Amino acid sequence: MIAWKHATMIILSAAVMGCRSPVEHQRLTPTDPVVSDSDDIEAIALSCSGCHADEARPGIPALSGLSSGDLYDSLSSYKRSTDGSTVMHRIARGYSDEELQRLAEHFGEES
Amino acid sequence: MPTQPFFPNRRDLLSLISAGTISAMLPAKVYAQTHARIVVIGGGFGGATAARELKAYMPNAQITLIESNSVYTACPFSNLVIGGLRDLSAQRFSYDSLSASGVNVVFDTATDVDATTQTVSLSSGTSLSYDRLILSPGISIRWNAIEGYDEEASAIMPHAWKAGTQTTVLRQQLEALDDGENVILTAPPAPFRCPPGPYERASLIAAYLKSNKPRSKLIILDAKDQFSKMPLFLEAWAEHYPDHLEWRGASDDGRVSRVSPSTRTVHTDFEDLSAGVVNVIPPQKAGTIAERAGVTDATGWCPIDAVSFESKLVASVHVIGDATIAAPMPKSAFSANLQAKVCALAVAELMSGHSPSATTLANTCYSYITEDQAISIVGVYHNEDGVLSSVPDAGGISPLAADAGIRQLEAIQAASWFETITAEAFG
Repeated sequence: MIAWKHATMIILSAAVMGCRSPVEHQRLTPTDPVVSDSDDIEAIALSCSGCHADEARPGIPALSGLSSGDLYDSLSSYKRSTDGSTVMHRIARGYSDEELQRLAEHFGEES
Repeated sequence: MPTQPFFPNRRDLLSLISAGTISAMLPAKVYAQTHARIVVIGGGFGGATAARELKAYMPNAQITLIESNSVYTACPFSNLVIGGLRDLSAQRFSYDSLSASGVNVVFDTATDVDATTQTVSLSSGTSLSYDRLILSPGISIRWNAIEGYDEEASAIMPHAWKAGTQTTVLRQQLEALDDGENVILTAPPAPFRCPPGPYERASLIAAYLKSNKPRSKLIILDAKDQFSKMPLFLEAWAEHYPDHLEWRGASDDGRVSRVSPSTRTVHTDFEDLSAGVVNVIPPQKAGTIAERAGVTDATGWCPIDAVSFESKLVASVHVIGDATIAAPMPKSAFSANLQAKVCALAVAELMSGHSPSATTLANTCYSYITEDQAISIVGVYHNEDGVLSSVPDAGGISPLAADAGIRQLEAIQAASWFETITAEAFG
């Protein structure tokens, strides 16, 4: 029996940890290259797509639909939780609050 | 078919916005100006991912992937095949999608690299020039590092540490085992591909024995006293396989120095042990082409700058995946895939006159302990100054003494991870 709180945390985490593939960028972005302040966040986000696909898979939902605020709250609670039961609990601890905030802004909907 | 009105989704909208303005939210990077020639050798999780990402970042560059086999057989999850829980066909992936993405996939074997002229020789006799070369050669076996364990011996005592025929041989031997005959698994010294892999395999073989050959037992003879996820595996073995799995570390005469394939006997310092099935997971080193390219050091592995994954020994040659010296990042499919993405971005930047920056990397490895339960280890790493280091107080293993639900959830996540990472590499 999977505890509800775990399932909830995973669903929330998935939204944050999903990643865009550069494959999609090439189709829609004619600029060469676009350089912005969030360059490093795109590099940091490369880790995410090892687990999170564009579509949801059992136990690892897709990135979509959550606000940046909710994403940050989710990542932040993973980081601060003493429960290490999922990989996200242990991964989130490796990122500064600022990195989590920028990841949330990077992936989330504007709130 | 009637024309559909265009309703852009969120991602399209964001991309369109970023195309016209500077968007801090979506730094869509494409380096269309470069027509660089990039050659990737090795089509595993590292090489296949690297080729795909390079083409996406540099749509006008020539990206060539050299791979010996037209079908890839994945190692992750192959322990489930050995345990009788999965068909080997589920491990196989073609390169059709990679070809369709614009990568020039060449089924040939790279035999040599000339770093001076920047050319790769192929066994077909042709050669390829490169501006940047990315090696993702995986591992090769150190034959005879264990006395008597050569390629011929591996037909009798399979290593099954490269998935494919060896996986099938080991599985068939287990099926043919008489109830009451033992199985020996020898585990190698570090570093080696997939640190928790031998112990996941031991768990799944023990599960098979428990159900199908209840009078048989698996004995792990280990060249080490410590191994990945050790407390979790020991806990799982005590719970699930008290009568079917025994581990002997190096301090307990676990190190195998010699094998006698004809009698399926292994020799430690003080003992000779025979078994019905002997799975030798031998010492390893970087794949052969890495040596030919001159990117290996005295350890047999490849020192790299961990920002760009460029070799520290040969300019314009990058190395990713199991062949690298990337500790504390482990030799895992997740690491190879992520290193490929980081390296592809770095190469695109280098070919476009930019300098790659340090970043944060992560790794996740799941291991099955039973048919439907798994455990995990994760790490988060920085690569400042080209040196990988673990981020303090992050990462670690699944909790000990967790209830079955947590283990079952990780097994479900492991299966989803496999789907995702193979899709990212092979499409």
